[in-house]
Amino acid sequence: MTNQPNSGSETSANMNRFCEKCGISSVEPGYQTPLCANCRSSLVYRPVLSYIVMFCGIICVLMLISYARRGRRFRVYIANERASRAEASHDYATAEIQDKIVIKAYPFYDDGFVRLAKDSYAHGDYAETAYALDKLNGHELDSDTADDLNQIARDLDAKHHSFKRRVQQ
Amino acid sequence: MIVPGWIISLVTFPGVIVHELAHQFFCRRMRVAVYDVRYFRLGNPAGYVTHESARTNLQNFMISIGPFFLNSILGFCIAFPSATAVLLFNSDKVLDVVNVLLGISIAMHAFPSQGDGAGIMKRLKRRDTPILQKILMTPCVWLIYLGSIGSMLWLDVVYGGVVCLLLPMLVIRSFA
Repeated sequence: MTNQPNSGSETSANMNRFCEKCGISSVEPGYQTPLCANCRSSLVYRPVLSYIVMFCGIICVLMLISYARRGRRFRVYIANERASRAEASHDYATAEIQDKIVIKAYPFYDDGFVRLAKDSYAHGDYAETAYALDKLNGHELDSDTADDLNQIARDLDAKHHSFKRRVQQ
Repeated sequence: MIVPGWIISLVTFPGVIVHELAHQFFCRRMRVAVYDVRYFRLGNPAGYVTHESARTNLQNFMISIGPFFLNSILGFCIAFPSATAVLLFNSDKVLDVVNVLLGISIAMHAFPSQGDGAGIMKRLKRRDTPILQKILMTPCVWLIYLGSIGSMLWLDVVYGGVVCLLLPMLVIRSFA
């Protein structure tokens, strides 16, 4: 894979002023290789092989399909990033809204549900927390995350029972 | 792990084709006659463009490093819609996987080859080359040689990964 500047005719360029290809005397100035304008143009605009044109066409079509089908996902990717930032800055309301956008597009994204569970719990939206925990039930998570979620589940359970007790009283 | 070059070229042939197309494209832009083009073959080099010597050193330089820009930009553009889906959301959808693999295969061939570096160096060694051009372009040729050596240590694949996976993530972050 290389480009090979051909300098074989450099010396001949100085010796004669005839086109190397067709032999006419009007060579294009400024070049080391003596070629007339027409011959140079034909070599400069050497046609690209048809299978290469087809290859380029396939890539263009693939890109069009990708951008048409995946273009809407950019909003999701940005939402994911915004959720992370909002969570880091303890803005749990915003984080929860962004988390919901993410899990709507990627309903099997465990990390999204983990973040939704934590953010909605911190925000006080316990129904959303319960929904996220339910979705994560039975999934394999790392031990720290599992501990955090179990703690949230226990807290939620305690809150639920105290709520039930209050209702019963 | 050492894998024969022709196998890598075969697997990543879109990158080789784009690399040679980039050389040809810049030859057209600089109005430099092209004598022969081989977009892909099983051999060393996997492709080549034989052209006349350009009018100026800068033109010669641009023709040689053209693939660095074209392969990088095209690889990034192809992988961009799918990179985050694959890297973050573990998407295994065909379109996403194809986009990322195609993008990497194109971007990893962005490095100019040793032949490209030799072509620039040959011009730089000439007596009539201005000293400023020698000072500015010689380190670029060293980088080309370094990249070429690095390819043996999979540096080209790492570069492809950075352009097609990490760069899209950074772009998304900058928009968030």
